Amino acid sequence: MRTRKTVRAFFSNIEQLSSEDIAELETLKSLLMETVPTSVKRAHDLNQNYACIFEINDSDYYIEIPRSHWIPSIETLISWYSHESVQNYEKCSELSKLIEAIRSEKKREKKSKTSKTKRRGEEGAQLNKGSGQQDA
Amino acid sequence: MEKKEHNLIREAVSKMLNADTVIKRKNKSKAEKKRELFVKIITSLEEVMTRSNILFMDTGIDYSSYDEKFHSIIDMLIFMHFGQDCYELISWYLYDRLGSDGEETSKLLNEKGEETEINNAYDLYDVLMKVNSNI
Repeated sequence: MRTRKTVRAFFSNIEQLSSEDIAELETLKSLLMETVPTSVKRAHDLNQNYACIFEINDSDYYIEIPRSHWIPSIETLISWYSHESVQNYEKCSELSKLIEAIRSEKKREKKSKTSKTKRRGEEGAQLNKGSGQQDA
Repeated sequence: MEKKEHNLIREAVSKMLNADTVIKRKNKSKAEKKRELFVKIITSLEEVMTRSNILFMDTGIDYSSYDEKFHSIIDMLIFMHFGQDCYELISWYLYDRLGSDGEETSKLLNEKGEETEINNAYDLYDVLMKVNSNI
């Protein structure tokens, strides 16, 4: 089985830069456009809570996106891919489907939590009824 | 790189994506470290060969007969560690991939006639593991 390799991004001499300067790097933007969709999709398929997007240099430190922020990050990518300089609408469509998949997974989780809480509530009510009869 | 720089990168990525990000430390497994070491060795060998070629093209100085002994030692060590089959694959990757017309061949056919693509040292390592998982 081929193991997936996490992308490694090499940064050098960034001590002089601010985070705003780094955020303007086109190479970093290109990297995120490639790695974020793949990483989020993989994390979603494996039911993980964090999507690992790249390793910083060869440091064992990784940048990850928590599940609650997958949709906002993909939405940003859609705006990048639909920009006039890129205009990759096929990719935008793929990313929209990924957002839908993540949202429908969220709804499924909410439903199953609600039904579990409801069942527990009913069981609790039955127990109380039972003990009430005994006391009488 | 210090943690301060890591945080700078994290903040930059968060700003770009308009989404929170976190930094996590994950130790690489033994197998991953071995793979990384292999890739570093192969990449360094490629760089050494490229450097010699550039030196010859720029200056006319040919160090190949001087370097031959070192390359021979490396080849013997590779053979000793990896065995015949893997040694042949590695040799192909390092010395025979580039055709006389300068075109790179990345596809290999195995005995069964199945095609495998080897574009970089990572791909090479994956193939070697299939040939001999004990390396």
